[in-house]
Amino acid sequence: MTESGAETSPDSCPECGGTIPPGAPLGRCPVCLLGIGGDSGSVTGDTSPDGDSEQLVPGYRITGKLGEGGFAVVYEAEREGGVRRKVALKVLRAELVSPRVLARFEAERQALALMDHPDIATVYEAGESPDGIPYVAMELIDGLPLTDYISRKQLGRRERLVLLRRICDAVQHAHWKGVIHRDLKPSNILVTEIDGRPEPRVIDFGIARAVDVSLTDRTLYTDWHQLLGTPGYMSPE
Amino acid sequence: MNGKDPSPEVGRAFPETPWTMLLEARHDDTLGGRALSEICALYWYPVYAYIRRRGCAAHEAEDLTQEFFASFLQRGDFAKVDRAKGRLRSFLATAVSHFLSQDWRKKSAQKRGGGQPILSIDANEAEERYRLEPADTLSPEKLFERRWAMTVIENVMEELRREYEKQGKSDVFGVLSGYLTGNGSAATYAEAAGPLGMSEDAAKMAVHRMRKRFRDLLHRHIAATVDSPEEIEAERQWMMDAFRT
Repeated sequence: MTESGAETSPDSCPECGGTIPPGAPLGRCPVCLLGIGGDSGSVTGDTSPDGDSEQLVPGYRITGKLGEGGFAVVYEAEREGGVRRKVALKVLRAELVSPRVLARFEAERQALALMDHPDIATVYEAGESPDGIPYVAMELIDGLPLTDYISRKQLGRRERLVLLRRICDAVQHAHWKGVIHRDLKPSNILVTEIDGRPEPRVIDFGIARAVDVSLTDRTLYTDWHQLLGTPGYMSPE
Repeated sequence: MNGKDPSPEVGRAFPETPWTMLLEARHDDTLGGRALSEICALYWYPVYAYIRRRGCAAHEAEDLTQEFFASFLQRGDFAKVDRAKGRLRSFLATAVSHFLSQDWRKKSAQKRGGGQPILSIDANEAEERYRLEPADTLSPEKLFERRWAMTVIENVMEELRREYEKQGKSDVFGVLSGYLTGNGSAATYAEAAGPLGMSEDAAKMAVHRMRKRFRDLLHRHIAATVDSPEEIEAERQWMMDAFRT
């Protein structure tokens, strides 16, 4: 066991604004270090140029990597030709392609396609790469996870409630469309700003479930006993 | 090893088999048992901190930590503890809570005693670390959670450091690991590049590679404590949330 540069007093992280606890490795923010491992691209800000500029999906130029989840890698990309715009390009990890993973990816794609709400990330296009790897091009949200945003902006109770109401409206919209998110938590709600006003966006319908419509024809969507979601935010049942 | 960047083979410390499978094969001196012991050896401190926060003195906490892991690894106690969620972290949290309950300790009292310490715990180091914990603000459970997440990061960081050291790049790690969390502007990259004899672009690229390797190691370390690769991301998110709540 190593002692990795312990510090004796709490400090604020210049990146996310969170508190760096005493004894943090190399005195670095543990949340930002953990952020390197995944989806919170806004935490690491890692868009440095390297081999990522290859063209994984025809028509999209990769300009950086936003994050990496359990099943997919999310890139920042630019749509080439026609309407040029920046998108979040979620590409399934080739090494994980299996009927179950394909089914879940397809379900997310279908769930998002059903949505038509300003506070739910919009899907622009979905398809498969020439290698048969599915992808989905979505609205690129330049924001922070909900709790990080609230901490950084030091929002008061009223402002938090306004945000919460917007989020509830978005969730209600999903429910009207027959889709249950099943993994709602602060890190799946990004807050961006438009004209200086906070705008929440619900993201990651990766484990969403349809109530009365079929999200996918694939039969291996999930094993009946498999636990999906994030324990800290799951409903008890 | 003389590649450009540390490769996954260098300093490999982790089995890729999920811990639940190792648990089934833990008896005697099997490879599975040794691998599980290695994992536990990396995670003794959160258990120690939990026991200390439950009110035990330092020497008692050390004994109880040894005893707890012996119960888990050698005698296979806690068989009835629910491991449906498949996370080593939640399994150990529940198991150590059972272990400290009076009833359980009475029942198991006859089985204890006389065994060799199962983990190499440095009592001074343990107390040195515990001394840094916030005084009374965290419950034993919350302290365990945060310490678990922190220990995962420490282990990843240590493996990363060893990889660079084995390639004779300790100086690169020493300077550039400070940029892992992404605070490098062009000016500061140039500042870091100078002492390493690199160009600014090369330093930026080296940081990018270091981040990538950190990410790979983090995934592997988490993978060893969950039941399937599909749970890695949820566990990583859980660890981030452990510091936010």
